[in-house]
Amino acid sequence: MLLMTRTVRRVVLAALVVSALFVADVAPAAQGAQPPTAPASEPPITQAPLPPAAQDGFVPVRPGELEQEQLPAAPLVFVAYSVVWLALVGYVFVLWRRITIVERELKDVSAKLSARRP
Amino acid sequence: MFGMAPFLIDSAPYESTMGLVYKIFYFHFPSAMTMLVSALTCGVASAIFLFSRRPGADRVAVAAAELSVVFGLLVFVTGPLWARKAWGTWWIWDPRITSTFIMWMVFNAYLLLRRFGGAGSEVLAAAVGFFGMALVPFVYWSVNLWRTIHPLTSVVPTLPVNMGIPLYFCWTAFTILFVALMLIRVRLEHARTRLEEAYLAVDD
Repeated sequence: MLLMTRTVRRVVLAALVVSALFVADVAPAAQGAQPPTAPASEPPITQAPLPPAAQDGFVPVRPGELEQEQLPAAPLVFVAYSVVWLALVGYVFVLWRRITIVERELKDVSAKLSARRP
Repeated sequence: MFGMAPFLIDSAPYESTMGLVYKIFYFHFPSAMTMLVSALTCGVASAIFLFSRRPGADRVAVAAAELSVVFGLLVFVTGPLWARKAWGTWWIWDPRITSTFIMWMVFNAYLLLRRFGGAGSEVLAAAVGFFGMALVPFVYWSVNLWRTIHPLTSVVPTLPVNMGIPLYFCWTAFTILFVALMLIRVRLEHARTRLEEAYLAVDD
């Protein structure tokens, strides 16, 4: 009876996991399959198509050429620079700590060695 | 130089298709190039160690492998932040990113081998380091061999002066930082070797 209960529980759990995976997989596809609310000829309301990012060469922007940005870039740039600074400072600190510990230990062992010598 | 860099980056113009987010390039590219230089250094030192068994070469290889991982981490933080805005996605399995990721994993494997491999692992690790170096040209030219959305290698040499000066300044700063960190890291490895020798002498 106990075995039966455990097996049933396992089957139910497996079915739940499979159905959750199926729903997660199908939901975006179903969303994409929905008919568009606006006619295809009209431009999208929320976001204008962005020009592709440069690949062959970077060109400086002309004054007044840059339009309003859709996704704010400032937080991304801020996070990127902050992470670089913090990571480098953190690494230098860790290196300094490791050197201090090893050199202190070396000093102690050297002192032990010289104390042993006649 | 790192104090001066933000002012130069601030004075650089926005890129016409990417706007402000393009400025991540000024730390992303030097980090990537420093990672490649670290990988080359590790590979050359590993090759020297494999053929001559010089302990100094092994110390340089360990230091360079660790710096490859550190600068690689900076590349993998700054890259997705830039890509999110420029490409609309955090990550894409394009040849440049994938090959860089594989190379980064190779140097992680090197460090894990050194940490947990036990006695004699330095020889195997040296072979791994040499293999990591072999990936460097593959990583560098991957964007030209397989065209995806990653910018080409021709972007940097063709930069206008007002974009190029901040980049070369940052690149120089990163190179000097790499040399300084290498010296400190090699010193740590040297101290560790002396400590191991001292412990052996105590045991005897």
